[in-house]
Amino acid sequence: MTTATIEPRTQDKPLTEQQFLRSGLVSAVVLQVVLFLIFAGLATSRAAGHVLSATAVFGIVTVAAAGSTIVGWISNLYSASYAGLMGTVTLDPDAPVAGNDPFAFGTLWRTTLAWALGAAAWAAAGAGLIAVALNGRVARFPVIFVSLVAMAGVNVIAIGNAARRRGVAAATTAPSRVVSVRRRAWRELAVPLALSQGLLNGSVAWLLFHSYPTGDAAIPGVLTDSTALADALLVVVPLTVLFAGITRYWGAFEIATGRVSLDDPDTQTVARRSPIGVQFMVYACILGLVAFKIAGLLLPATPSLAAVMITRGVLAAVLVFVSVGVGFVRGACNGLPE
Amino acid sequence: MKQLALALVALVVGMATVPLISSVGAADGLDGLVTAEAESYALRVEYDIPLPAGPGTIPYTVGEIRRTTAGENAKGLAAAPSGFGAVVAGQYVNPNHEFDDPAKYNHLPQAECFYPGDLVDTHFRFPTETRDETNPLPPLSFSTARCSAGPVSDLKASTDGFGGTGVVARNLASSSLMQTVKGVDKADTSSHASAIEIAGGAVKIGGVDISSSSSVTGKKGGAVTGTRLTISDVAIGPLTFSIADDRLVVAGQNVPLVGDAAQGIVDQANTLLTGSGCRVDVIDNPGRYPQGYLFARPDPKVGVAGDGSFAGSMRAGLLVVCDLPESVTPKNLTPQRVQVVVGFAYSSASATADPGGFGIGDLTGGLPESAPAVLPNLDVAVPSIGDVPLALAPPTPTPAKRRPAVAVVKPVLPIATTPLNSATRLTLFLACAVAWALLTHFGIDRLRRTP
Repeated sequence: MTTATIEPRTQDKPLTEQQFLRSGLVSAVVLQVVLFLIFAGLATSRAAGHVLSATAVFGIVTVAAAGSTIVGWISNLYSASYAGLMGTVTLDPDAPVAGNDPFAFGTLWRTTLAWALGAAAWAAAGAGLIAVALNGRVARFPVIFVSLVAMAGVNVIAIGNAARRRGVAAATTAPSRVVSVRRRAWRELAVPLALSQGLLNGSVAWLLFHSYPTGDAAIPGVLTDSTALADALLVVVPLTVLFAGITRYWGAFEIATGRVSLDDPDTQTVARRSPIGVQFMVYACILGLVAFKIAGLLLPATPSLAAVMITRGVLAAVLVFVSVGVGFVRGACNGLPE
Repeated sequence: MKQLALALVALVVGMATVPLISSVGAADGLDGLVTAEAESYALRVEYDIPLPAGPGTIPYTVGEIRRTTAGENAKGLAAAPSGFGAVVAGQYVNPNHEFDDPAKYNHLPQAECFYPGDLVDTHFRFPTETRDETNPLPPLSFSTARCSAGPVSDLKASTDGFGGTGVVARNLASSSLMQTVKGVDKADTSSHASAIEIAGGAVKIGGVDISSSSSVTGKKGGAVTGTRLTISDVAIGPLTFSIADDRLVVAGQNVPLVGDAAQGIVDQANTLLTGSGCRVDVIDNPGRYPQGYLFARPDPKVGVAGDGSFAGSMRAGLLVVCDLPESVTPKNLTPQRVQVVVGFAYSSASATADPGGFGIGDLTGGLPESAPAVLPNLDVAVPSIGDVPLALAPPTPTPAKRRPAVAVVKPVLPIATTPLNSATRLTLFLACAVAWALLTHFGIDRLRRTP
């Protein structure tokens, strides 16, 4: 096994690996609590009677665990390696070095999917125990929130911590191959993430609208196209900011470690004093909102639940695809900060 | 520390967001005790022989939803062709006590639901599901009762025709829906019948449509209630009149339903009915009719509360009382008279901060006394409902005929709330516990070996 020749940058007060992992753990716990507070709130807010069946809780917990793990594993892996590269964390020369390059396309997605499936199975088993405890009774907000934190949050945090350990260890691992920035951005990262987010957002659409009657517009409270797409801003902005934001560091890390090369150095090289800014996020948000408007025109006035799930899933997938692709290329072009 | 501070800020923002998100729901603003009731029928027929008995309430829907912070429930009953009273129901289920085997009993033509529990979505087809021998018969009446979380009680009953001693009618239907939707607690009910003939045609009624709707938001000015009544083409001899809400229409002229002019027309009708033994009256006190004389309950509460906590209204149509002539009376039935209420609807909705139930303050007062209900020993022959609808029903109606010409409405996905049986529960527990333990073991092992 060869190691990279890249020297980590030094920082005034670098953290030890334990300090780094501990700080990440605290942040992850807080963020998971916030995330699942919102998730449980969304789950109950539009459900009939603000309650869910045990079956619905089972589905929500399982999907939340899988969805969070996919994003959590990759982002923690990259952020820890990036921190190691930037000198935020002290690399222990005696620490075990990551074996295979964890950022190689096959390894990255095999590992991610394995962890996601494992997390989903663990959460599903736990949700089964919750179903036994509920025994036919419905679940309200507190039960759903606790279930999410206990069955999805715990394993996502644990897996995220493992990803950070592996990321620190992999900071100086030599790349297994070099691919072009565009290929890496669009085909190897944007497409898989878009697919996973499309499935996740389709499931969230079910979560939001499964209690609505569908069909006849004369029925009070029927699911309409405007209802289905009313929260466009709440979908477009977080997805764009999250994925365009985190992939900027992915691109910077991969160009610095030689995992990707510029396709067209003349146009992709930017001056250090005038890096590519975050303006594209605004444009992406505007395009996302326009896409929601167009989808509203295409959807029937009283769409079926399946049509809403597909529409929202496709819109989210497209948005994530664009955000990840552009965000990664931007990071690669800008490189590591001075 | 910077990350932690940012995370804490996000936590505070997130927690502040949840109540806002949660308020976009089905029942925001409805706190405390939330209830809704609805009841309606097209015809209620009682024979005074001398105790009140008879074919019952045709068709009938009645239900209630109730929610407090402690939980919620919904219940309802839909009956078609008829909801029997206590006296007749016993005779119908086991005529003259001739069956010892409960498997031979007739099932009552009604569907009941209760949430939470096993009876959340029920239906009954009459006479098909009356007993095993009637399975080949085509359905002539349908009753559906669906109760679910929310709470929601959705009841429907319909029948093509009804024929009993002294009363026949066609195209009867009743429906009631109680639910909380987007911060509104509401109850809607309506009933319909047409081609009604009473006492062998002495009184003919083209049709009756009656409905009642009540809703509350729990906020000031948020209580609304109302009833609608249409009784068309009441024909008594040469006299024909109709009732449309609070107006009586005769010969193209309309007069207030309550007043000398309308009373004069009703008197004229009764004069024409003198030879038939019947009498017609406009019902101005419907409170006594939901349960008949014997099992009468107190008048339900009606009116509108200014603070938006209650709304209720009730309406009934006509009361026809006949001393039946022998020509329309079967040999095995000799009622002295038949009393028919044509159209009745009641709905109410309430949302109060008081959750109800038994509190410490209730310790100072005694529980209300109540006498046990005693069913009379009715030693008379009661009409067999088995031949009631068959006399008038069309040969083989198909369910497709009943479908309204509107888009098919996909109902809300039901919430499975059936408790697991012990074996399933134990199996699920063991399977999940073992799977969870194994996955935990392998997961921790794998996490330790990473990277």
